[in-house]
Amino acid sequence: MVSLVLISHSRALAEAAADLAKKVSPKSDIPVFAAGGTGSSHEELGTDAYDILETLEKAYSSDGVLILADLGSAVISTKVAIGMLDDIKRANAFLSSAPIVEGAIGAAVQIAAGSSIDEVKEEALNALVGKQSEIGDDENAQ
Amino acid sequence: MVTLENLFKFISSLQAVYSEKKLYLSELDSAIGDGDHGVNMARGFDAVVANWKANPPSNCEDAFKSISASLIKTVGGASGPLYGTMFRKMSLAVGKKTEFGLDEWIDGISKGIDGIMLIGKAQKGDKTMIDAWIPALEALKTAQNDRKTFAEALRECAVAAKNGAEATIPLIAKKGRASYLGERSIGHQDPGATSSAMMAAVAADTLI
Repeated sequence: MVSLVLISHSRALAEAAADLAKKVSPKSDIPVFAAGGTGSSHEELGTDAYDILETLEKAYSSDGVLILADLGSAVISTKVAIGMLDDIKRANAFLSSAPIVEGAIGAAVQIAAGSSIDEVKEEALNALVGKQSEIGDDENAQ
Repeated sequence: MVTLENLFKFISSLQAVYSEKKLYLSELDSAIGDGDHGVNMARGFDAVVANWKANPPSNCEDAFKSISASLIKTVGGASGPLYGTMFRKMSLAVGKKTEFGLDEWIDGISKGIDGIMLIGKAQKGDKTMIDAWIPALEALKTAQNDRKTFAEALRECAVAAKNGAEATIPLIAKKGRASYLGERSIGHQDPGATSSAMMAAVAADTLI
């Protein structure tokens, strides 16, 4: 089964997004992990590459690991952490530009259905498509 | 010549410089970023020196790895993992030597810059630390071609890095939080390029 890792400057945000993704997916026991925040109990805003590395090790699946990070230094710390994984784990780690909340929900539904890493990646990346047609940004939606 | 003794002088001097320039670097960062770069670098090099003393490295690979790990763990923001990557790549480039000279230094800096560019996706002219490091590397290579001594090469490198940092003033930021400011980032010197130029200056003073 593919696993999902969510990384935010705010640990609380990553954990809540992980909880949300699990609860809206058909199976609540899918492997979703949260990382992020700095300080002794991750209470400060920021990211720590070693903390992310530890989570990536824990989340490892030979079926693939999809990683969503919020932005800026969270992305940079995640890239550093991926670079510190061994070759096999690194080859199975996929950092996606998908939005963290919408992407996590789309990915979780596919993971629960037993989809491949490619399908999970694609679903996460397409997570904004449905929302965009619903809201219609160009129509100055009311 | 880079030796373990000189590398300890290098990090101790950086600890002193970043502590002294803490407010200046944070002021530069307040203008276009989140205002914590000076505080972050000072905290980072306090940890670098403390960890070195607690676990003295026995070769240059371990020395650069120790510096890298301390910076990644304590600097925070983007500059921690970026500087951490630079020193990590340098550790892999120099290997288990206990001393080395200009050729290895150039190889290390070159691979370090590649590492930073790979994860940060910044190019020259984006108003980042890369704008100090690329001219710094070019100066080292020119000095190498001209068969200058290591000390002369490091001095020319420091001048090039300082000029590179100052040349970020008229640029528009393309990376990091400063990029949200667009044209309003013009007129401010990039804090990451500035802390990088300080590092090149300290190298010229200590690694000889």
